[in-house]
Amino acid sequence: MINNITFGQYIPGNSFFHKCDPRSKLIGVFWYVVLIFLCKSFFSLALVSAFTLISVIFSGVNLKTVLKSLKPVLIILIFTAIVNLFYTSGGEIIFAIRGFKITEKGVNTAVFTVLRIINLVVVSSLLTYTTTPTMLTDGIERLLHPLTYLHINVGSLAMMMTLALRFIPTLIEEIQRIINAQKSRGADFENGGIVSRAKALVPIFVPLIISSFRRAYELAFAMTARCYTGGNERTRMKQMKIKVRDIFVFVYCVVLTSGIIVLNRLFEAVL
Amino acid sequence: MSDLSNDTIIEFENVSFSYNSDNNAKDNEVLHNINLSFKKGELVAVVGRNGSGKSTLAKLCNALYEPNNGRVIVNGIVSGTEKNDEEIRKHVGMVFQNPDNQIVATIVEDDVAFGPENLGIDPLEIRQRVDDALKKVGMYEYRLEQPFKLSGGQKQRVAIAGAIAMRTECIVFDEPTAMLDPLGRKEVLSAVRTLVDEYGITVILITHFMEEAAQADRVIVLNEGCVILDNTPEKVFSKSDLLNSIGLDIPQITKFCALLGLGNSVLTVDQAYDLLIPVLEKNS
Ligand SMILES: Nc1ncnc2c1ncn2[C@@H]1O[C@H](COP(=O)(O)OP(=O)(O)O)[C@@H](O)[C@H]1O
Ligand SMILES: [Mg+2]
Repeated sequence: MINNITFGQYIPGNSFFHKCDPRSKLIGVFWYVVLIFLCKSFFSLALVSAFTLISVIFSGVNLKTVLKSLKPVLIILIFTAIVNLFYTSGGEIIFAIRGFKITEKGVNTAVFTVLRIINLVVVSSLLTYTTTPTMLTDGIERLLHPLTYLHINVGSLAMMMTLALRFIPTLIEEIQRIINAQKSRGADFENGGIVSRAKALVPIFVPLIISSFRRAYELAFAMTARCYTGGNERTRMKQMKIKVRDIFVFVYCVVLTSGIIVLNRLFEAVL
Repeated sequence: MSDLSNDTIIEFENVSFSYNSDNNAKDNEVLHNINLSFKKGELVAVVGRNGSGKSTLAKLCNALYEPNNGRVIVNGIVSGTEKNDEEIRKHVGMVFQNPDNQIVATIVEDDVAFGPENLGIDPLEIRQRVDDALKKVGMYEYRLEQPFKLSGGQKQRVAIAGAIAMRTECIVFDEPTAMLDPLGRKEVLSAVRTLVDEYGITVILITHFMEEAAQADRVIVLNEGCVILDNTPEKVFSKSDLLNSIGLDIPQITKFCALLGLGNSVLTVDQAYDLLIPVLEKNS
């Protein structure tokens, strides 16, 4: 289960978005997320979805991979849909059974919310599909640069983020190994009530924490040996430069924004 | 500055070290009064059983630790102050045992760039160094891969490239093959050999595989924090009794040839072959 997380993994490529500056992508995605929440009618949401599809094409990532990124949020999607379906009332009653009513408004809200979440997940995973974690954290570092005037060491923050991302697969592997080791000693993670299952997790997390500390200790030596001082005189191999294509990202967002404003005015709101 | 001859890169002068520097530090000293000097361009192997102080010695070489007594001098710079220590690390790089715990970035080439970036080098030059270093260890085609997808030997070669890209004159390897399978060991060892033979980098190779140590120019044997042998591999491995008494072995092939009465200075299979073939031909 934990071995096939596709959400948030960089996919090497040469597409339009791969070549964009991480800063413009970060700002673009942030902007896009705000827009998704500004949509009021199905028409504006349809426009956003169309733009999302175009973005998928621009990212060069195939549709199957993108759909796979929805798998981890599938439960959330289903849950949201059901809750909205039954608990929103108003409009015509479509279906009623033993006091549960499904209304037109309920259906609309459910579909609308699910579409929103899908757009949200797809767009943000496009960011991580097309940007290496290094570029991502470098981009965040540059965007947060003004904070250095408040004496916040943005460089160290970015380094922590890089290391966290770097160690996710390593720790997943480690958890798997510990689970297997405990299982082979007869540990039972599948049966029993919530309390006994929670208790069964203790022998996983204690070794995990201990080994993480050991890793951190060794990593600190390795980084020091490679002249890392935590200071600000580091340079970067990959320089960031705003190019024409980044201006296009902004134009893209501006066009979408105006489209949504117009459609929100013209059509009645769903929610 | 010190009065070293020019061909010495690292010099240990009466170095003692203990992990807790309390009053009774003498009792829990890990290294006792070490005197060593490493020459430029040498491949030196350091062997010794677990806990004999090999890793500690390695970390003293590039100022990750400071000696409690005595001095460690790298290219005339004495370790101990923050400024000197940072300078020393530009001369002596290090590759550790576990590749997972020394790779910093999520993309191979970004990891190799980490060291040069810390040195504040110009981006174009970093690019060149990274490509160059990856080619030297044969990992250039993997430059855009994610390290966790690589095999142990490949990860370790990435770590070596990371040290090469810093253009240090000396690289200390702390049991770089201990966690690898035979194929990975071979890959890493041949990368190490290339560094010495083709690029003139001084290598200090800590290992517990005697076959690896046999390929070195010089072997240092540590036992309980003391240097007990420091000589050519032939001389060191001819003292099989002494080595056995401190829990070390000699290379299989050396043992084999000694049992056959071919002397105890045979270190590689090729040498054994050259010796054995004439004997066999004479007999048949
Ligand atoms: N971080 C540490 N703190 C305290 N003692 C240590 C530490 N690291 C190593 N030692 C002790 O120092 C001795 C030498 O260890 P080390 O240099 O790692 O040996 P080797 O690498 O040859 O196995 C061992 O007795 C070990 O227990
Ligand atoms: Mg060790």
